[in-house]
Parts: sequence; C-alpha cells; structure tokens
Amino acid sequence: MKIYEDRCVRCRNCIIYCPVGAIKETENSVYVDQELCVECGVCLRSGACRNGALYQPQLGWPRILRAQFSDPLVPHPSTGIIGRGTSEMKTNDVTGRFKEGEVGFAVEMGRPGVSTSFADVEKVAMALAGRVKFEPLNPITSLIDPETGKLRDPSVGRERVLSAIIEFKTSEEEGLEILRLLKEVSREVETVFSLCVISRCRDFEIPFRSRMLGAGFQPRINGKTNVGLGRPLA
Amino acid sequence: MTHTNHRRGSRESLSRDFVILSMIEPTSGAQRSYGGPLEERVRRFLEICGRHGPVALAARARGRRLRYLKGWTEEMNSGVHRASTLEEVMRCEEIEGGVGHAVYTDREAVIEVLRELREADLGLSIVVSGVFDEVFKACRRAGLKPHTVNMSLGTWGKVELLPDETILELCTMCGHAMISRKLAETMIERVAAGTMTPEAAAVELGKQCTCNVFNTVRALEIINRAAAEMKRVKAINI
Repeated sequence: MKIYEDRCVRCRNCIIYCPVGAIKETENSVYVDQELCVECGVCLRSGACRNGALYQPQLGWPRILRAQFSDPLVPHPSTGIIGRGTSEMKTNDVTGRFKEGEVGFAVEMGRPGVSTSFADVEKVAMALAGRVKFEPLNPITSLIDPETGKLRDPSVGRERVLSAIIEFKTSEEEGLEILRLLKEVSREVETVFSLCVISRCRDFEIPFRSRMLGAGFQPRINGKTNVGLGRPLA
Repeated sequence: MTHTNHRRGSRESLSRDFVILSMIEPTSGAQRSYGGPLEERVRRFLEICGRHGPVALAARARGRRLRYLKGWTEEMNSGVHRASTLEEVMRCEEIEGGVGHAVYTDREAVIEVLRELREADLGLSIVVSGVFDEVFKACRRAGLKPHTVNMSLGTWGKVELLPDETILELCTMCGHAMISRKLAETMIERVAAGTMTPEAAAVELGKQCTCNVFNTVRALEIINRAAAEMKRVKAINI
C-alpha cells in the first residue's frame, strides 16, 4: 500500500486501521513503511481516507506473496481458494484427510496480528522437515522443499505477511514429539505462532486431547467441531 | 483456514460465542452435487440459520459478500463495507460456492439450527466453533456426533509482542487479523471519553472482519467492561 503525498491531508484517520502499525507519520507527512506493510488492504477497504490518498500499486514477485497471504479476499494461486490455508478438518467428514490415529497440525505463523517473515516460516519448516508430511495443497508447501523445509527461492525470506500456515499431519504416537519440537523452535523465532491440533473424535471423546494433557500440553477450552453432516461421508 | 479458532476470553464470555460454518470440499464433485443444486442448499442453510436469531449471517454472492451484523445500520457503512439486512442474506438469489457463516450467543439457538440442518440433510460440511463442552452438549441434543475437532494450543513464541488480553479478546474474533490493536484501543478510548457509543464501536470493529464472524454482542460487553475500567483508572489518577 502507498499514499499519494499530494492527496494526503495528514488527518491520520488511516493509522489506527493498520493491523501491523505500518502507517507512520513524520512532522510533515504520513507514509506507509514498505518493510512492515503486509499488503492486507485493510486501510484501503476501511474507507478511512476520504481523499483517495491510499492506493494499491501493482505488486511483482516476491512482494505479491504479501497480498496472497495477508488479504483474505485474494485467492492464493496454489490453492485457488480464498484464504491462507486449506479446508483442513472443515470437510474431513467427506475427505477423510485425518483418519483415526492421525493428528493434523496447523502452525499459523504471525497470528494473532503480529505478522511474520518467511525467514521465520522457513525456520519452523526446517525443524519439521523429515518428521512430518506437509499438506500438499497448502500454499506454504509450494514455497518450500518438503525434504529440507528450505525456501525454494531465498529472496522470499525477506517478505512479511500477516500470517502463514504450515500444515502437516503425523501419527498420534509422533504427535507429542512434534509438540516438544515446536516448543523448542518457538524460542528461536522473532514472532508468535498460534497452534492448531486436529483429531478425530471417538463418539464424544477426543483421544489425542487426553494424551496431550498427560504430556503437559493444555489445549484451550474452545475450538472447532466438524459435526459430521457432510455427504457423501468418507 | 483456521479463522474461527483461537478466539480468546473467559469461559463465561466464550460460552456465549458460537460460529456455524457451512462449506463443501472444493475437490469433491459428489458433495457439490449431493441432493440438488448447491446454491439451493446453501440458501436453505442460510434460511435455517437466519430464523434463529443470529448475531451475524454472511453469504457469498456473485462478486460480493452479503453481511448482516447485529447493530450495523446503513449510515455506518464505510469504504467497501456495506450492511445487509437479515432478510437480504437469507433470500440471496446469487449464492456462490458452499460457504456461509452464522454467529450466535445462545446455545439453544445452535441446538435448533443443528437439529434442522440434520433433518434437512443438505450434505454440506458443518463446523461449529465454540467451547467444546457447550458444542458437544448441543450435538447430543441435536442428535449428532462430533466427527473431527480442531483444538487450539494457544500462542507460542515471542508472546511479549502481543497486546493485552482485553484487546486480544476483541481482535481474535477476526481470525484473519483484520482488526488492528490500535483500532480496538481507540474504540475503547472513545467509548470511555463518551465520544462514541459502545454499539457503534462494536460495529466499527466488526466491519473490518470481511468473513463476518465477529460477535458484536460479545464485543459490546468487552468494550463496556474495558471502558468502565479505563474511566475508573482515570478517576483514581486525577
């Protein structure tokens, strides 16, 4: 995002809308810090600027990734769907993507509202590579070598996005080890990540929840439940 | 997409916060065609959800999103954000895809919605976000069994970068992080200063959440609580 200097009246109305604090001011101007801006489009959509001073320039590679990962109205070319991830457990009743005895993970880098560099995404992906099966349809998987977790194009590492989701699955047995590994790598990143763990239910029980509690990992009281109404059932 | 996971708050507050999502698997032709045209089934989903007092109801129409949000009136429109009435969303003739969202504060309403969705057999995948105990109780009473869950293990890493918990309670109601911490802080300050109503502040936050899964009723409670605390602290410091 950029600001036409000649149209900006320095009312500062747009500043509060930026999720990553990229709109800054000096004594004489208001400008968008291009390093921090994640191209999410929130400021433009908000209508905060009544003078048409905010504008979205054409984005080339690799900066285009900022919009693809940060703006939920921009479909990602690798998935064709709007958003940063996949349909994960939301359609598991018809896909059977997560079977009994398997655990799905979604490591959402930069969430909530902190943002992340792809260098940090790479750090986590490298720690996981070789241990898990990265979700092939996920946009991050298309950017990394799944064997090593390294970014295919090193120039991508400098880009920042509001969030990026690393999705993968493993067995219940391996799941607890993965949680310990994520705990270790969480100390090495310069951002935050929100962590999702997906598990099949057995009647009204969640077997992997009990295993996590036993190992000292405390899931939050709230989350998402697929209620099994999708048809045809997997 | 994990956008309704990781909502933060106390058990009491989260127990009045449910999101119901309909979706189909994009790669499944069988789900797309199950039981008739997809658009009609999504319209039926929206009609069922709309009859049980949602705080929010959203549909994807051709080239736009139809968004009903409790408290949002036409004069509050700004930028690209446009309010729809509940009836407009329920009777949309231009449904696109299998996605629809509804937000509730009342478990009884969720039970009724689930019961009707089970009877309607629409073939859409339905996900309910909320406190697991509450959602599982709702499933039992609606005659459903939970199939798969997505649990949150919270936030890891440099958590010192996060804003305070009250701001997070507001901001995490948009999982795509479209609500900035500065906007949430400013809304609370304006309500505390008496320059904005808490209802308008809740809607201003909710408008930024383009998926329309923000709960304005819950936000109102959080904003009122935070604004009262801000006034109390200010009074002590005078």
